[in-house]
Amino acid sequence: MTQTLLLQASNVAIEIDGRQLVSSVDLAVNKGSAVGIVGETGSGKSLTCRAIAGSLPAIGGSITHGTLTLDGRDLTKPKAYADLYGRTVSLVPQNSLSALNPLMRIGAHLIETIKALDADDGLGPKNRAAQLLERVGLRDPERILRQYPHQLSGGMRQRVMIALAIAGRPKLLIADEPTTALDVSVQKEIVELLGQLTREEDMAMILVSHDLGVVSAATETVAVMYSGMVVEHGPTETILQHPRHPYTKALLEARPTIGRTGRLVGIPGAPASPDAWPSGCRFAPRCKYAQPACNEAVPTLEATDSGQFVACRRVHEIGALESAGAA
Amino acid sequence: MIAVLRILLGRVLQIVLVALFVTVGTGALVRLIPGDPARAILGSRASPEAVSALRGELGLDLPMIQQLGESVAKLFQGDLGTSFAVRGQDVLSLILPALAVTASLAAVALVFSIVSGVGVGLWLALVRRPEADLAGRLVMTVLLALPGFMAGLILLYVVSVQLKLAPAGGWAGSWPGNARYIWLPALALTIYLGSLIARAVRQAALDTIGEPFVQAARTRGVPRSRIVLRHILPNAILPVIPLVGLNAGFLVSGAVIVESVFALPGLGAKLLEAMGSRDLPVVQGIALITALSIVVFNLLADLANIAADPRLRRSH
Amino acid sequence: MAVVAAEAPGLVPARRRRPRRLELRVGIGLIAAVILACVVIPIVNTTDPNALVAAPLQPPSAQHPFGTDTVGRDVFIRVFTAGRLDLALAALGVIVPLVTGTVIGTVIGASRSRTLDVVAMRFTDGLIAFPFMIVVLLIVLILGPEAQIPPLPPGAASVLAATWLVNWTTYARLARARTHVLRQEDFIAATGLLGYSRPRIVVRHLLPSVSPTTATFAVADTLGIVALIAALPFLGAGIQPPTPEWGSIMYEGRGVLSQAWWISLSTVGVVLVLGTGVMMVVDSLISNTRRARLT
Repeated sequence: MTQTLLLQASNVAIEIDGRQLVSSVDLAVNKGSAVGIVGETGSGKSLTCRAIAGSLPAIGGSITHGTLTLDGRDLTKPKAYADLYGRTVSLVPQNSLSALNPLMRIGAHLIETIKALDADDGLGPKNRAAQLLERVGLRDPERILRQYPHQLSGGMRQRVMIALAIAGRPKLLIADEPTTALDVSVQKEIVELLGQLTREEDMAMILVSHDLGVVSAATETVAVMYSGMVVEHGPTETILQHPRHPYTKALLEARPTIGRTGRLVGIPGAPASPDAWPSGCRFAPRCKYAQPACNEAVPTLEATDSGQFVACRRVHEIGALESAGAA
Repeated sequence: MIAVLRILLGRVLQIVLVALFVTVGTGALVRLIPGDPARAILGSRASPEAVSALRGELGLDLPMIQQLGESVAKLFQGDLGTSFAVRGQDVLSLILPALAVTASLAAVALVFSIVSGVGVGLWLALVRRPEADLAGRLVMTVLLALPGFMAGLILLYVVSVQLKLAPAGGWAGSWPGNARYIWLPALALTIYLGSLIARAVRQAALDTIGEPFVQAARTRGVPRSRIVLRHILPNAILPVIPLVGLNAGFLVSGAVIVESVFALPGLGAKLLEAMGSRDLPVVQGIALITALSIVVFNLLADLANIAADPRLRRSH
Repeated sequence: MAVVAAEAPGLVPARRRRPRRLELRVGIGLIAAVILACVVIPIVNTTDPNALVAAPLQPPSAQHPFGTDTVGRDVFIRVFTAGRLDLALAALGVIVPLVTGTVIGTVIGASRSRTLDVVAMRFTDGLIAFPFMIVVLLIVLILGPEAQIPPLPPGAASVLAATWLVNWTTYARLARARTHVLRQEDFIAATGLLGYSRPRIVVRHLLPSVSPTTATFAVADTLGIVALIAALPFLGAGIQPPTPEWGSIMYEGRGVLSQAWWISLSTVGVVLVLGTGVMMVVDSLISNTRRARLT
């Protein structure tokens, strides 16, 4: 495997207005590969995306700790982004309706982006805009170019957002819960489109979701976040089949699956507020395997025999417990 | 198009209702003003016979309901009646010159207010230094606390008396000579309306900056200047349109008082004159014209709003 | 199951910003200073506001801080004596429409009758289209300058009558709009389902929730009424001289502005201090901005 590293985050901490909301994120993305980030509300996955996409300052946030390099550039330095936007990294946002200017036609959005990135491929901005819309699977691009955002369906708008994001042929595409606001059937199409584009355009992608299923459809590796930390990461298939961290296990059990019978198991309790994070493992208060020792120190990510990295001091004991239980 | 038609229809209905309401309302109110118009016209030494003859001629001896009915009937033929004081003179032709003064004052003030309000509001939203923002907000708070005629007094003293940059009131009577006289009273009205607009624009621009689409455009590499002009500015101007519509009444009332501070021969002066001489049709006419101009102004604001916001033009 | 909820876009809870509190305090301080001055100064300084104390048009001095007016009265004592009348009239001119308008608007808003709602709204539409100033002038002229309610000076009665007749419509509209919003909310909908009587819902549940909205507007409106009362002398109406009143002092000073600025502008200054206080209070009550930044 001679893959080159595109993005490397290690031990990244993020603060907004003096509150630390993300305290330790480790993440690596190779050129052309697709990585998923999974976690529930408040786990810090969106902030991590914002940090990589360079939109932290706009909400008063900053990286206070750790290193973050993208394509050889140190992103913890202010103003590092100016010429990365659109060409190196690009963002597909959560909500496509609020991410488009309601007073501007779709065409104006595309054309201004193409002009700003100087990326018309010699076709002229307008033709390139139409080509991009076709690229994301929209029919009748000429008509869509003349329409306003509110005139399109949610799925169509999300495709427009993707077209905007790939206009500058970025090396890294960040899709922050791109399907949350969509119908289930449309969700699947969008995720498939993202997967297809990353393969065909040789782009790397970070796909964020609270749903492991969505992520598994389009990524090779996945990182699971809880309370501002990455608690498990590794190959998507492995984690889906053999989750090792108790939180990942609980997350998978809480997921409705066709063909599985029995009750859905929720995760008892709620994540702690960033102001009251436990001193040790942050999942401990909700963890059914927790012991007093879990509260002593924050566990760090460590390699396991099954190929993923897990931040849990009892990971081996739990593995043993479970195989004993199964046997 | 359906949205446009509905708004137009609603407004036309409102215009008719307001016309009726104002004609009957002022008609009734005006006739409650103590003092006999015929007596006021002829003077205190006229004989009772002459007064009652004039009352008959003016229709003042008819029951009030009938008088009101007749003025409404005339109104729908576009006739505001004839003046009591200037006998035989058509009311509309008496009012029009004064209306032109007030309307031009209001129009100039509106242009000043929109230009300065949008500019200042946008600047305040974009300024990065917290002291500048605080200072800007403080100045706006003070300016909003200053009613137009008081602003007029201050401007009159500072600009006319001290700096001698403008005449201390008066009117040239013809354009472009009027320009010398109009800008200072217009500025007095701008103090309040411009600050109101600036505050609304600042807030709307700040809200827009926080909108995901602005940040999304930024992360696509769209330059800052273009984001300000194409994304923030149009969205920040949007709330100004209904705001100006809502303040049409203020603009007219404010203009009438400011005119009096600056001795402009506008509707205010005409109204006082007509009330003094119990010229009921002229009083009624002025009330009607101002009320209608406010409704028409609101209609224009509605149309401007539809033109500016594609979301209001649903269903093609 | 907290797992299914999407991550909220507004990640940071809006912090209450400190300057807002400060703004409220400074605002109340300014208003209190003006009220206090109007109460105390005429008690301490027993000069008759209508007495001729010095030569006309004397500039401000230690003895007469705001100078003297066109006939030689002390402007300082006149301005603060006038403040008592203007503030009392403004309070009366706001409180009565606030109460009547809030009640009328809430009842209309709570009513199930579509016809009542449409008729009432068309009626207020008509009144609102009418320039307030002109209605006030007409009423002032109808009642005449002589109309008097005993403790108040001549002219006051017609000014009050005019504001009471016209001004409630704004409050009624606000209250109706607010009531319509509240009706959608669960706690009001629940009272209906519980079978509470309409009057009980209006009095016990709607009015307490509507009043803060109209009361906030009333604070700002006080300034508007002060301005209105003070504007009337410029149109030949309002409180009749020689009673000291802000508007009539300013109007008197307008005629001699080039020789004696202090008559008009010291009055403007006092009103401006009051107005700035009012605007600060209003700002602190309605605003909750959290600045986003364009990077």
